[in-house]
Amino acid sequence: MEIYKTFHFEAAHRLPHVPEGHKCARLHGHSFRVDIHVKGEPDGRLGWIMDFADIKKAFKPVYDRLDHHYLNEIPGLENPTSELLCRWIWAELKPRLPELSRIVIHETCTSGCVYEGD
Amino acid sequence: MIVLNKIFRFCAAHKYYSPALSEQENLRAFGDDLRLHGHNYTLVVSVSGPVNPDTGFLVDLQALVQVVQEHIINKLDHSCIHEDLDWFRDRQPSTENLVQWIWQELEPRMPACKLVKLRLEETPTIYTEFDGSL
Repeated sequence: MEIYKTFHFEAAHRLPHVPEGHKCARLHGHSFRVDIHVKGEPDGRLGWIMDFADIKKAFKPVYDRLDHHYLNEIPGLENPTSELLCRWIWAELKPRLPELSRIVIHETCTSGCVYEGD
Repeated sequence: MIVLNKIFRFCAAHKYYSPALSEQENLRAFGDDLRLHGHNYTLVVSVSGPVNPDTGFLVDLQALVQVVQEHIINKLDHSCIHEDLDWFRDRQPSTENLVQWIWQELEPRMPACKLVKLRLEETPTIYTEFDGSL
């Protein structure tokens, strides 16, 4: 069973390696939505896999590095596609949240990426 | 009055800084917004006019979309607002100012209908509305 918590952050980015003339090469930004999934079995007494507040607490330091930032300036995010952003968040968050099972990034309301680790 | 609403979306970056304010005042006014960041904006264009009895429509939607696309979306989507639009050289790229710029670009170009309202959503919880009156 999985639970998830959704976060929103507002960030700028550009994609440096797209073909010439591609609109994503221009500096722009998004209201990113991130769903952080955690896998486990509900505790016998509490009835929950984890306190949602603990997901928020684990993600907070990562969130603070992303929200209202220019993603390309973050070490490791020089090419901040949704795919590489998923991997970056995973690497930052997994040590703090071992039960992490899936990250879903919605870059726009119609485009996104799902990552469950390699 | 019957109003027809059409929704558009664009993604853009911006940051705030006013040379008229001290560093401390900038920090107090803008906080995190001093840093370069971005949004997925939603623009709702509301138009009104008599309903054409033959079509049942009050606006030629194709013509409306073409105007908004050419004069607004093509300029704002995947842009850095305060750098790419001259109008913002001496203005803050706030949603309050952006909605006024969109109005002044759109209002004279409406295809046989009247622009009655704009709604500009910056985040899921923040939006402005403008009816052209100040």
